[in-house]
Amino acid sequence: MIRWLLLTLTALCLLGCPAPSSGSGAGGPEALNLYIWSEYLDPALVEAFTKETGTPVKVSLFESTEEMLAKLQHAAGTSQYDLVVVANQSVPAMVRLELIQPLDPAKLPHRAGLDPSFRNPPYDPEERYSVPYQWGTVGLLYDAQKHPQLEPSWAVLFDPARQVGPFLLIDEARDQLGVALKYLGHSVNSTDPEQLKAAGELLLAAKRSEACLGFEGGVGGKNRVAGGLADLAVVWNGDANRAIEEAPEGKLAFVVPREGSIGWCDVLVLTREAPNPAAAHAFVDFLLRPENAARLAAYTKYATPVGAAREHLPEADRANPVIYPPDAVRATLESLTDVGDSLPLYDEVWTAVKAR
Amino acid sequence: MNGQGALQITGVCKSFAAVEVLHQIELATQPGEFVTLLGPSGCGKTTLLRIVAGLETADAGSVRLDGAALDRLPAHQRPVNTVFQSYALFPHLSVFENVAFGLRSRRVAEPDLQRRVRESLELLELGALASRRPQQLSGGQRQRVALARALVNEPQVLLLDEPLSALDAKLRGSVQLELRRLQRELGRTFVLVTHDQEEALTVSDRIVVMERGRIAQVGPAAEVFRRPQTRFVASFLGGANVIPGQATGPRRVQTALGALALDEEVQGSVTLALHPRWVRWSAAAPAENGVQVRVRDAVFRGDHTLVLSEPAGELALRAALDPAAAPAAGASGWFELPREHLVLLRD
Amino acid sequence: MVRHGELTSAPGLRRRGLLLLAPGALWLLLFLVLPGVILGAVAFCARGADGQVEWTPSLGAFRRLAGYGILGWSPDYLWILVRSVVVAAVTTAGALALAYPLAFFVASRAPRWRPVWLGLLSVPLCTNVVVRTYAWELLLSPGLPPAQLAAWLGWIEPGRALYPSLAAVCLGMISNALPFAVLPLYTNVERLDRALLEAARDLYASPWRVFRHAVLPQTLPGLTVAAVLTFVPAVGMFVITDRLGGARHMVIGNLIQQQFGPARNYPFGAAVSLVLIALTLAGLALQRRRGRGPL
Repeated sequence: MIRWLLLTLTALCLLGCPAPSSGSGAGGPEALNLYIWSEYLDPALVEAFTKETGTPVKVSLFESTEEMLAKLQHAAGTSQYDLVVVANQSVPAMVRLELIQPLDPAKLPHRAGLDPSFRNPPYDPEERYSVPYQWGTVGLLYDAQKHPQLEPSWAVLFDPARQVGPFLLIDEARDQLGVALKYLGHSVNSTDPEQLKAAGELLLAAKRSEACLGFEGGVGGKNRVAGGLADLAVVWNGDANRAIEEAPEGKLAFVVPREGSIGWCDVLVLTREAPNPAAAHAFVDFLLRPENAARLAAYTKYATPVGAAREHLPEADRANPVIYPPDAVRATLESLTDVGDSLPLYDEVWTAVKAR
Repeated sequence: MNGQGALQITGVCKSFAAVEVLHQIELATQPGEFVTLLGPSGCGKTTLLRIVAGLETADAGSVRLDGAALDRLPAHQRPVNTVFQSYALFPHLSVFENVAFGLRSRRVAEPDLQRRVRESLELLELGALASRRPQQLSGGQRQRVALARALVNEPQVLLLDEPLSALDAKLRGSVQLELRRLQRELGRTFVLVTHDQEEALTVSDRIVVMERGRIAQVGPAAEVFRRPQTRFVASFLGGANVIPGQATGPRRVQTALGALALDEEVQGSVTLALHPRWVRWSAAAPAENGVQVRVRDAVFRGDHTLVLSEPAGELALRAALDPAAAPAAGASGWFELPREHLVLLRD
Repeated sequence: MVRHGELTSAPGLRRRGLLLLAPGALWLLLFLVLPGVILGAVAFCARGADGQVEWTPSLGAFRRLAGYGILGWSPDYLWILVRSVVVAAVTTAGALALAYPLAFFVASRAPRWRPVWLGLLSVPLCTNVVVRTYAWELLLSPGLPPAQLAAWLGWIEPGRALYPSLAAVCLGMISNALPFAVLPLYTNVERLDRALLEAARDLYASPWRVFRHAVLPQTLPGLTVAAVLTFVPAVGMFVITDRLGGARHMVIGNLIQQQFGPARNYPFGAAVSLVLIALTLAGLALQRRRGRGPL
């Protein structure tokens, strides 16, 4: 009862911020229920899976991690969905909150095809709960015609002397603070109050600068740069890649600054009371098959963590440094982890940036 | 500053959309006169008053005050003031401030303003209510505030738009006398609009009877009442019996009721009027001008009984008789129409 | 069917009254009182390490709201509150200033055209505020006349949009609030006692004095309703300030959304909501007390 009411309450509080409600309800007893961000799964793959196994797949969509977590925590979502695609840093908390259950390694033979860098990740060291889905980076999308010689450094945002503008920051606390921490030479997952405070002050100064147009979430930054409203923006590489492909040749470019950045990874997890765990495992393994993983990545324009899939990728994607950064860049990437108790600290620093 | 208050209205016409509400109105008032515009609703009397106040613009004609044309002056520059039917007191201002409103608009110096407002309040016996708000007053008190608010400005002409219609009958009677007294005391020109003939008769020096945008008759109250000139005036004032007929001799008229003798010389078709109060009742035939009737209805009206006869040739007579001597319904007898009270109408 | 005594005897009336009241009361109970009580309860709970609500009494949320954070005291929340109130006040003032003449304009149209004008004014309400805000972004984007004009006048750099900017926020907020300001004012203006205006003119009042004493006092009730209907939603609004203002400065709506969203701190979010509700109620109470007194 309380959970249900809490959800109602949350919904009421979020009124005014449009969250197209995800489809709810399961599709039949033997159907597989998947809960995932929108535009993040090739429908052709779903069809192929159903054709191969006879299991229909019911795809429900969410727009934000918070929406997904609220649904799993308070609306019996753990028994409504089998598989959920979540950001890697959410995994430990979901384990602690008992929202997800371990996967059966025996039913995932194609896990062996994963790139070694994605095996035994810090957020799930024993690979008990998650299988990587897609990964990417955070960097700068910029107008290459106006700034052909853009310095590949976060300094173009944070150093008043080297600033290039107008620019847009990303309206995501962890990502934007992580980038600032990286510029200062700290870990993107720092929980040191002094380091975070410094990162916050850095962001505040950047926000207050003439060159800053403000914060944009999701695809906003990409759209603004593509539309000529801003010269550069902090964006995720998949969005950047889409903008670059849609723009005239040589108009836009993407760079991961040399100080390093965030390498994010979304993963598949199995809910605690999944109604159809067998189909869930089958689907995860289906997606891990090199040819399917390649198809998925070709659709999302993000990078696949399945190393064996590389040869099945379209040539243009495989050679695209925006999607698959060179090893030198990859070495500078750090993935976000669960900061647990320190999330309120992040929140406080972020609020201070936005409040002042 | 102190003019005479002689209002002269010439050739005033006014139409709303396609409807003509005033047609070629000609009217002049004497200084210090109490003139009443009397007529049924829709006769144009209020529109005429509003044209004088400057709240409406005439389509043609002009309004002059002591010789000076008012037509181009907006309402707030005319030396006239209005008492509105709804009083239109400012609800957010005290009685004092309501009365002071016009003086403040004209930036009258404070000591002078205080004195004049006080005087005005005393004149209307409102001194004790100065700090009240209109909502806290009775209808009669509000009416007096509205009067004080207009009079404090010492207008050359005071316009009153049915100011008593919201009062109950008893109060209305005393306020009418009060108005009359006030006008006499101040010696200013008052123009009152009303549809109540009794009110008009009570207060006015002269009555202007209006009918469908035209002036039907102008004259001293008693004259208009006693000698109406048209069927309309005759029936509107006192509900006179209107009797058409044909002259048969210099002082004789043949009507549906029989032959009637009168004082005036007549010829051709004529219309006669007779107020019900002049009709006499008798069981036997009177010497002259007797009409044999059967009483259809007798209505007790307090100071008189209104007796209605069975119609003779579509003409029913009405008589206001002493209740003590009035016949009952169904009785038969004679109505006498005294020749000295028969009025010859123009139409 | 009215049974004997049902509408004439006191118990009968009471029974019927309760029956008629029940659906509304149930609705209020389910969707106002109950969530309100839960909101109040949650505000006094603690946040678990993973964002869950710990049902143990805690004043942590309010301590934080008072400015005592992990990094020491800061007036950030006070600024957010003040900013929200200022934005709402500016919105209200702007909307009322536009709505007042508009209400008179509509009321002065021929009766058969008034519904058309009112309809035109209400049409924006048919679309979601987010959609309308995107429409403003489009209108203010470079290449369109408004931005070109501003660039030609030297207010902005050529090729740039008119947003994010303070002016764009005001534009968005005021246009969003306008229908809520016009409608109550219109119903008020339509029933204006014109005799009062004439009385003022008759008493030598200048146009300003006519307005001050004959028009304004009569429209005060409409202005009050319009102000409340404009101000209250504007305090909680954050979509427009974010989209047209560049999300640079937080308002209280952002703070609440952030707590129920990324920060996953329900107790703090509930505490902020409670303060917002309390402020709104206090404002309304103040308004009522002033309204009851002599005008």
